Amino acid sequence: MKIDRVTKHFGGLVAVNSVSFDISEGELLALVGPNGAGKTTLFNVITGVLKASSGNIFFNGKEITGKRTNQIARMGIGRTFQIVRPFGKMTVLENILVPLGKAFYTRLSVFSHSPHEKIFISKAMDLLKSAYLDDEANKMASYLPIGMQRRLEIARALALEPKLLLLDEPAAGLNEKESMQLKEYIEKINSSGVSILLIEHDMKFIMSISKRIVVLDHGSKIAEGTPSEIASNPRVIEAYLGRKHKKGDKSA
Amino acid sequence: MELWQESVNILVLGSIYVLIAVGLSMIYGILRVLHVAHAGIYTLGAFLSLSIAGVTGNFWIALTLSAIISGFFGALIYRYIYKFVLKEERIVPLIISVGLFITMQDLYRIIYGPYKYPFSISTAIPYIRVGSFYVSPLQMLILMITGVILVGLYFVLNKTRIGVGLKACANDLQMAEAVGINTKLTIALAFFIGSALAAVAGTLVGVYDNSVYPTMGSTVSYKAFVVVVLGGFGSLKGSVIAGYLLAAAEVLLVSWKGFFLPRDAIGFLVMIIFLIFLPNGLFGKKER
Amino acid sequence: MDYLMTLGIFASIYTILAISLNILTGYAGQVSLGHAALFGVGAYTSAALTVNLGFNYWAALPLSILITALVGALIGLSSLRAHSDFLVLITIGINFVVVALLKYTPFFGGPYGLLGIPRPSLFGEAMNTFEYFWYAVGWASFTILFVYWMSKKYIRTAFEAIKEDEEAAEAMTVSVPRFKIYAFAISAAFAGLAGNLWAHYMGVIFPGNFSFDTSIEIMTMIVLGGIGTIRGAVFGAVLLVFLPEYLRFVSDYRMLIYGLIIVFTMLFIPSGLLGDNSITWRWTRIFKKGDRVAKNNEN
Repeated sequence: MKIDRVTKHFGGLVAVNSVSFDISEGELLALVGPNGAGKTTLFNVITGVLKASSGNIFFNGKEITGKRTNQIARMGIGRTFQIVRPFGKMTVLENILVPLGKAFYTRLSVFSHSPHEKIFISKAMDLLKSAYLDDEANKMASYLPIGMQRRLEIARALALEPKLLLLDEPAAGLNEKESMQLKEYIEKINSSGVSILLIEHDMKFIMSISKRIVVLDHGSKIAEGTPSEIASNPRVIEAYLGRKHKKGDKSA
Repeated sequence: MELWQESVNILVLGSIYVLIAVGLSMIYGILRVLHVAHAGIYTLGAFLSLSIAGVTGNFWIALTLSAIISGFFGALIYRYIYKFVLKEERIVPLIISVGLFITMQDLYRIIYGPYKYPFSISTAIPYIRVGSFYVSPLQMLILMITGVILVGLYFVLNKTRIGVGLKACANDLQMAEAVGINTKLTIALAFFIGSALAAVAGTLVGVYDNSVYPTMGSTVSYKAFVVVVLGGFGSLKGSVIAGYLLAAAEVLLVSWKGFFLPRDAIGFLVMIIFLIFLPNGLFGKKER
Repeated sequence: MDYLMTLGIFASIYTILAISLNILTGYAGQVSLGHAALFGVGAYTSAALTVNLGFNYWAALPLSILITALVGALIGLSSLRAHSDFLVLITIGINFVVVALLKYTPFFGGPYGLLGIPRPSLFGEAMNTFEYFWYAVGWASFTILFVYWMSKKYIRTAFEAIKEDEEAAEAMTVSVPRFKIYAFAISAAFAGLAGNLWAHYMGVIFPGNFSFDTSIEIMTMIVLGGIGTIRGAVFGAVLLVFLPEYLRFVSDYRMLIYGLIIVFTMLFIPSGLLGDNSITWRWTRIFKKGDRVAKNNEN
């Protein structure tokens, strides 16, 4: 995927300012930056939830700027949300069955195919198994603890068979053990050939999982490089520490 | 001259709309509840005034008592019904409110029967006539009462602690709670004020049309929302302006012969168009 | 006997209406308090086609369903801009406007309505009440079966997804506008069918038949039975058609009782008498260890 000088402003406020970077196939790229740096806005622009004010986004050589969210998802970009958003009143299994119907939603076969068909159920169970959720298949999604809901959201996005997965702060609110499980899961997904773009606050998590990092601050890209390059980059340190001093350590 | 005459009609009709819509707008501003049952209170106010005036023979006592009782009744609706469903999806309180409204309406029918009761009063206000232009005593009464109420309301909202509390609650309920405002009492107060005004409106319409009947609130209930939508949800100033605007649109379009829709449908059309294309109304702030 | 048959016809028509509102509100989460408007569009279309334009009933039937579905889709467009409580206000407004239009259009008979709407004929002879009863029951059964079948298909999954979370649904390739319009159109098609059945049984229709009160009535049925289930819609419709006929006070205080039902069900048993999560429904299932029970009892 290629992001080319993407800008998004809301009225006078520039949330994303001419940001460019690439993700190559099979890569795991982390997008970091202090609160309000424009990371989630960029996600929403990529997935078509928000319209870019200017700039272009290409995916697999095709332009996806301006396409609708469901079309972009169908082209192979899966995502999770910053605040977990499983379909709460569906069971865990039903959550996975939704994206498995992606071939039908544009056709009248939506009337003829059933999510209860064996292939879908077994596919869904496989996905749940790899997310360590197969035991919870018949529970209501909203009843799961947050760690499981996060994995459910990722499994749900994987059901689209995406080539690129966008993860918005998957480790937020997780305890040590849950976050280890999650890391393992993400690495497994990545090694199966899915590219991943990851937003994260937790620097320890990022450093241990990604090979390349892009840093945003106030909507602009201020650095790009390997974890060790980023850790020693003075602008990055300033962006993080500068905030910390102003706000009074809020573990940004 | 005819236009002058119409302008009096517009002012009178608009005043009624404003009196009803102000309460709705206040309640929506704080709770995000579309309080359809407000029109049930409007009818309640009319019946209470009619009954009390029948006993005491004094219109002013009837109007005051009716406003106070209706106000309390409105606060009770908040305390015993809405309070429990505020955390649900916004649809839930709305449907409950619709249910409540038809319950109230049918209760009036059961108690009073499906009849139109005449409600005539004598005022000391003279008939004003200049050439062919005139203002009837009842029209004058409505304009005067509305004027006094709007001035009073402006004073209460802008110069008293009650007003500060109401504004704080409308801005951010949790924040208001956090800074020590008694939000439950403040919300109950908003319901009280709004309901009292609706009762006054009901009474005035009853007197003006010389009839009070159980279903007098049925189009009013939704038409008041037209005003609130037009004025922008939660904006009291907007509601006042929108009330008179809607009245002007209705009166002028209906007097224009050959207009294809009845008066009540105009309001609903306006509402639909606004909700779809201008959901923040003419004067409202953007929501969320 | 004719009286019972008539009630059966009403129950069938209201069953179709309740199920059709349930598709829109229960499955797709688009709450409408103006469903009677679509009922009216179906009735008036079919009546005008047969009475004013001389169409045969069997030609008017599909046309009235189709036209109502189109009107429904059109109304559905508003749901792309307005959500939840604002959408409800719009549907209420549409109900009032439609009734006003019918009242003021001479072609539709104005306030006096349309008279002399013919009964459909079978083998050259107009159906009697007995035959019409089975005709209506047939359509109601068809509706139940069709919607039951539909509820097992991916279309239902798409509806549930947009009901739960529009943004997440889009991210899962479900086009929210498309399925909202589908929901409105399918729901309207059945409302149109109900309108057709009503018009050709009654022979006379008035704008007042399709007022906001009727919308409330339909909503009460599904709220009472349990929003989102076919059994709830059928139960609510049949109960609220028969109850007033057998309990005097229910018919005297009809609107009062509807209002109270709505308020109390929403406050105390939000999933209705027969909804998936309601105490009453679970209670009837205690002896059958279905998976639904297992699902509900966890946590």
